[in-house]
Amino acid sequence: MKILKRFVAKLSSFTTRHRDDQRLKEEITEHVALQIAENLRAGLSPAQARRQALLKFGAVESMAEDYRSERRFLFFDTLLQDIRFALRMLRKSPGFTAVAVLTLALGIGANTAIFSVIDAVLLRPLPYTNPGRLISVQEAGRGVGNSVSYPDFFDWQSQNHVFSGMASYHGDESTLTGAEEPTHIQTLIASADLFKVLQANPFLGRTFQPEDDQRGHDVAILSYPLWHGKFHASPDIIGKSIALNNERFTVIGVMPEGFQFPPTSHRDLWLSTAIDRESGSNIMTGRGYNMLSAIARLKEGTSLASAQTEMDLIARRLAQQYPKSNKKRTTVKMVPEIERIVGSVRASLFLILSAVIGVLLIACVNLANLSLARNTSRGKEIAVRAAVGASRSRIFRQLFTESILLSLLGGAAGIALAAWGTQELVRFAPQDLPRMAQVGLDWSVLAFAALLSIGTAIVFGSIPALRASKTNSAVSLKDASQTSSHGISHLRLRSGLVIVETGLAMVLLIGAGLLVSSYVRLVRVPLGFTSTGVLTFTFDLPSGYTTSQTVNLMNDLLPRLRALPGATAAAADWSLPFSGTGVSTGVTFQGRTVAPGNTPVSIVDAITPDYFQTMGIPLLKGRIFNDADNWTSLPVVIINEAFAQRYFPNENPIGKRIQPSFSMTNDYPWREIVAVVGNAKMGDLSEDFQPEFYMPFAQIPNYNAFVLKVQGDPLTLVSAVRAVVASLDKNLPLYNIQTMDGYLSSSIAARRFITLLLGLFAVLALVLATVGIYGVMAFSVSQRTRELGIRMALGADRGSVMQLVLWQGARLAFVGVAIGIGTALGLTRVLADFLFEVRATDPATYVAVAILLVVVALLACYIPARRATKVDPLAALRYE
Amino acid sequence: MKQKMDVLQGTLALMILKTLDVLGPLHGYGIARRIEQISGDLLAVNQGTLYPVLLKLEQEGSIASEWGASEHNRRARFYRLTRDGRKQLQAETRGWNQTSAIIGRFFAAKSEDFS
Repeated sequence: MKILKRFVAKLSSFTTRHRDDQRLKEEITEHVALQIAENLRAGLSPAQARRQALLKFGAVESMAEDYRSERRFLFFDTLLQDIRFALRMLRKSPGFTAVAVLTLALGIGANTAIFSVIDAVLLRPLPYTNPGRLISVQEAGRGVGNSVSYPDFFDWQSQNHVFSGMASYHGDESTLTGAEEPTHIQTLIASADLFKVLQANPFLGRTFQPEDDQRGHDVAILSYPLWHGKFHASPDIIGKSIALNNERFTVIGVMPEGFQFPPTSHRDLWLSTAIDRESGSNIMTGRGYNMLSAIARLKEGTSLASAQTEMDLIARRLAQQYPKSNKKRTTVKMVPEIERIVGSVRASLFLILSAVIGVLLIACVNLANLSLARNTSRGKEIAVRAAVGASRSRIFRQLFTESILLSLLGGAAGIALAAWGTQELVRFAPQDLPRMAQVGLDWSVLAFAALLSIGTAIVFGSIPALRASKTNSAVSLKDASQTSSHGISHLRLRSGLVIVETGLAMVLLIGAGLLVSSYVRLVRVPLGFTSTGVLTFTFDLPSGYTTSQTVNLMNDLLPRLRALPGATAAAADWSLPFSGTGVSTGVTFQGRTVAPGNTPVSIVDAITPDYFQTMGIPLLKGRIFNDADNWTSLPVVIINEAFAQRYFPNENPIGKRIQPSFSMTNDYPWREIVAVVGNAKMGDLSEDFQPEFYMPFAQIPNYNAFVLKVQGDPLTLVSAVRAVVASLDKNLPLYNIQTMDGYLSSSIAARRFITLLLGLFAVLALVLATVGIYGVMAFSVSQRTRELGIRMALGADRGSVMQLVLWQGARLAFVGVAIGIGTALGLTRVLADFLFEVRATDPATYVAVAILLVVVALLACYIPARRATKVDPLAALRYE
Repeated sequence: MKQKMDVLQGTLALMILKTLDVLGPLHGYGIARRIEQISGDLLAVNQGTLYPVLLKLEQEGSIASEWGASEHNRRARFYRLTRDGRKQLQAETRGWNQTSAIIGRFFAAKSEDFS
């Protein structure tokens, strides 16, 4: 109650401070006058009476200060005053201000940019209703992929009680004809529940209904961009029919702008599973065809854990019921949908975040150092303040206000830097980093930057301000710049800070060094094929094409491609390396029996005879396919070296027969091995070579890509290739036009991105740490001018003075490096997952980074050291 | 230093209230004189410290003030006890008496009383 009354009184007097000061003045005058009168009555002389009265009253100013603080929110008055003063101080030393603001801008800007990425990629919820309850459901178990078959999915759907809805989906591609020129589009074949699970409503028309999954319901839902781009945003589209791969589909709806499913992949339209039912293949009934993803919505009040229990139960039941296909599928992996999308990038992003936090810490240490130096040169000013009655807390507050102000200025510059930085990040980010398109500066990012600025000020501003407020005014007033005892403890603190930042920089440099070394090793990994000068592209054949038509088309096309100017070889290929098309299949060996569930597996490929020549894969043994290997001849196969080593360790594989469980028909012929070729990487450079076998295209006419070996830049041939394909059939749009080098490059884009960022931040850390070392050494030399002068007067030559100063700096660097190495060794576990063929304790990297850091530190010390040798002994001595 | 000041301010406030209670409305100098007479050296120096305490008491509503004329016919601010202030003084006097009685007993106790 009392507090409230005082608060109200203060509030009301906030506006009347002038009158209040007047009242106090009158009261003091009256008080002193009465006392003087009293003293005169007691017989003192007028002068004495006045003096005694004033002495008795005490320090007017400090009393007035108490009085005012009682009266008002002194805080704001002081704050305004401090800010005004701080601004004046910063303007007076533009060099210091510029360095400080720039350092802070780099630190805060880098953090803000990375936070904006983390915010958009990891933290923001998915754009669906109540997205936290959307769960990705995948089959799991030892050696089981993450997809599910239709029959298993139907059992999940009908047997669970934990989801309010569950939908299956898988991606597909097709050629849209009928609307202007034929276009290759991305489609998603989803069960009718999908939109109910997502709780997504259409922009026009309707979404799927349960009967849309049945045969004969060939319906399609368009994405907003496709509707705009290809159908002129016409509202009459509902009920119209469109042609996909020459089959008719009825448009039932258009989704709103911005709607995407799957959350991070672009789809032009959504089809119901009717198309799969009509395909005539056995994917609807075979439990071995694991090709679906599933998404489900948890019922309200059901926890993920209890859902997990029930789904595991169903999986085990299916495994018992259908041991042949489901024996290993004993569990179900359930994660929130967002986790499926971003789970794999979290570790990388946090690694980068910790690197930028390191940079910011170094920036803080630098600023603390700068402020310490500055406060030393301001020692006299601070001492005067203390002498006229400023309390310690008052001095602390004033210096701290300067820090906050600097930090906010740095923060503002940092936000500008981050605005530019995030744009660049989005531009250079790898394709497979999800949700990067949403990265940008918004309120949450700005709030983060503001908080970070204030936090930064607290970290770098408190030590110098605390120290300065402790200053003994009597000592400082006597001689502000040369007090030796103060200087030494001061220098010790600053040296400590330099050691800390050197250590931090060392940790970052080691991390970056290890990543760079991994990256270099990765790109040097032998591919097994020549990626340079290979153009790849593909087109889809309409469903009307028969097998023999396909083979004929190929026989027509490949010679024409090869005949293009600059082209040297052309082939069709089914599992193109690094394009994500490779699949594995089981293989049976003649005369061998294997335990069930232990079927040998291998990557399967189908190629035209010139494939090995086009890709530069060497023939090791046997013969390449030729035109005589056709539909009617003996089924043949070529295996790679890894296949031979794994499955024919001590035998000659040529002439042996294998039976791949992969076929275009229901016939699985035994195939004779006619050759062994060199290994080729299929998709992951960090993986070992996998067993792979090749079948002749003429015997298994399926392809995913064409490869064309070109002299010079492959992309110059694209229009010629287009023309050749159009001359055969003008309804075949080319897509996936890409060089082999391009595929290779995007396969390591994520790693390159992380390596680049970490490298960048490590260099930033090195620069900041170097500036820090330079600052401390320069300060130390200026403090020791007299000492160095005496040394030289006593006969020390320039070399030994130089050595003295360099050694002082080198010692700091050594201690920092040692601490950094210790810390890095403690953190090896963090990095291990990101490394390739380099151990997190790789001595070469540690030594190289240590040498780099020490050399740079010595360079930073060199300038002050040289200044030290130029000290004129006479001048230095006279200076005192 | 700070703590000692607080104690001083607390006792000072109580002395002001009691002074006004006994003598009626007074100006700052009058209060200072009275406290000096009774407490000895507490206000022998730093009489000025009185004024922030007066302001605090006024803002809490324990005392009120208005301009009036001093004995020399000069403008002076006169402070008087309010009803709240009287109540507060009674409460604090009670509290103070209790405390001092307890402390007094404590100091009077001999070592054998504790055995």
